[in-house]
Amino acid sequence: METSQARIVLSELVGDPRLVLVTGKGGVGKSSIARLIALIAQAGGLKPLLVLFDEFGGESDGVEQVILLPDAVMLEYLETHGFGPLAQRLLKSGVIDAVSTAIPGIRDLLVLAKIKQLVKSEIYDLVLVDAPASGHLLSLLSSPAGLSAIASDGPVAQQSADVIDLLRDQELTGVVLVTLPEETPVQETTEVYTHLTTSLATHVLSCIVNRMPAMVDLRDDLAFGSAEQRANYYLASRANFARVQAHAVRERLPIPTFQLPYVEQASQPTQAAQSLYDQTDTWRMFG
Amino acid sequence: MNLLDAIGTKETLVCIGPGGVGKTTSAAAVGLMLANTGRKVCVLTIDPARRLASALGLDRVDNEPVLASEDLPNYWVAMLDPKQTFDAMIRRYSSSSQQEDEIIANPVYRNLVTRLSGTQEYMAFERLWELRESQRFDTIIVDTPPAQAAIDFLHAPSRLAGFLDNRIFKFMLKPPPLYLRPIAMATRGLIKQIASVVGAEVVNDTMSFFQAFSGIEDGFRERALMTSELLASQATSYLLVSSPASDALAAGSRMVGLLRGIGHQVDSVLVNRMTPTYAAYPRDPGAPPEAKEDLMRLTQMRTHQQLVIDGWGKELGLEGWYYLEDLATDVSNLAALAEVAAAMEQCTLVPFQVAE
Repeated sequence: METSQARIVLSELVGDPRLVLVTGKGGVGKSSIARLIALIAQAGGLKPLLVLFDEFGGESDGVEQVILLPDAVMLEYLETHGFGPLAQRLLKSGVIDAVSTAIPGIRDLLVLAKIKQLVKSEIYDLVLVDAPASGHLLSLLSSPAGLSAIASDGPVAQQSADVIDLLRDQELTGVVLVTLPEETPVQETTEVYTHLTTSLATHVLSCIVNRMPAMVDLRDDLAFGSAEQRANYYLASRANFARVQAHAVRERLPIPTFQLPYVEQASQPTQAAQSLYDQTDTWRMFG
Repeated sequence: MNLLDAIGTKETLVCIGPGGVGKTTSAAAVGLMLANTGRKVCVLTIDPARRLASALGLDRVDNEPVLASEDLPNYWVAMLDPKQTFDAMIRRYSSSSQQEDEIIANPVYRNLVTRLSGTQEYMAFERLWELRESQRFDTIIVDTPPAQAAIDFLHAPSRLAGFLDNRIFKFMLKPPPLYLRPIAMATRGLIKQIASVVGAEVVNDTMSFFQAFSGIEDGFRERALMTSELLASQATSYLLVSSPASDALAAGSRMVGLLRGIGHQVDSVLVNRMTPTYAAYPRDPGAPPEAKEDLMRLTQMRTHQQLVIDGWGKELGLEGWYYLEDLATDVSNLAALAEVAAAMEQCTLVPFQVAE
């Protein structure tokens, strides 16, 4: 992709924020989409960073990436906040586990604070977060507010306030929703959109309807009951059903939507992202 | 061997699997299949998304089990409400209404229940235990949240028990015996240091939260340990639900491995949404090339899926797998669900073809 074309695709997809959280129901391909956006940003001459929460996020493909594991983030925070070498022992002895079980959101907050630090470091033009599945993302993003309700003072209160500011900053931060052309994911995406924009006041940039099956028309020239007729009927119903669902997304969400094709036999997010990147011309965009 | 034989007499069936594979629909269909055999079944969904209600075509499903339809006297459904379950538990174990009030008014408790992640998992097993103990059902089917959250769910009982056992909190709650005083002093110093990082208010609230919990924790811990045992016992069976996609199977295998690590056995795997095969039907010799190609493409996809699944056979450590074919639409009412349940009844074990 040409640099200028990549810039255009990127700006249509996400605009110009510094932090993009990519989320969706489990299994909709959000890791592939996060990686895809990173590839496009890179082609556009930008320096992206991909943030993963999962050790199994897939091997790197030239995109710089960092894996944030809550325990490691907690350790780093303690080490840099006056505990020094004692931090490791605290973690091992279970004290930290006990405290963070009583205050479960503390881990979430520290992870978000770490992301904030990456954004503010100005080393990267775009920080892309391969965020947890939408249900968990909502509780992750609610944690700072929850914690500031119990801590009106001190370092936790300060961190919470800073993170909330970043998440609500319409210029800096945005969410990309990924969904599939199926009833339940579409329904859930609508609910997540409402929750993000109202209770969390976070900007939603776009919605990607992933894995659209190829269009197949229903034929009337096949012998009834034959294998060919049954296969055609199955493929046509599936394609039609997907179109109805993709249409529902456009109807319900007042944001740009994109329909991306189904890429066959891509077993890793890196493969799927590369295939989608190579097929930019087959995407359908709806402003 | 068929799926019904494999799981038909279990008291608790836990459905696990990655997201987007039709886990909730499968749990609901397994429940309906068992209810049709005359067992009294409750499907309990832990998933905060209202997928169970939408699969059944219901407006909502609540914490209290309800009949999915008046025509099906054995088929009950419920959706976990963590706050209701938590409050009920506090009421049950509190020694006085004053203690109950103190806990419910504590900011840490309110935060724990209403806003923060983690509560879901704690309350899920409490609810499972309550339903089990009520002896209202022959089988309880638990539809867990996807992947990692499900593992958290299964770890929750032992984690909570370990947490309440934590000596640090014991020292904070009760004056320690004389010979342990130096350790207790050191602990206080540590608590002070933690307070300097997270803020004194948080630590104070947390400590009063534990003080308010004093006495309750024994009942709570006992319950947690019993649930842990229940989940690891022969009366409980795990069903891994997956799609034929390799990443879903990979995530599923990881979950199976993690469960084995804590002594829980996954007995069956159900692969949903297999591309349908039409090999048994007569061919149409006059079909145009595009139609022939479409059929061939489906056949190739199916063959590929079977290879991928066989590739995970060793990792899963199971004899074989069950499958359901893709429906091309969603299941969003009881009639459609009944069709899935009927197809499920026909599921027979397909042995893994493990390459030498």
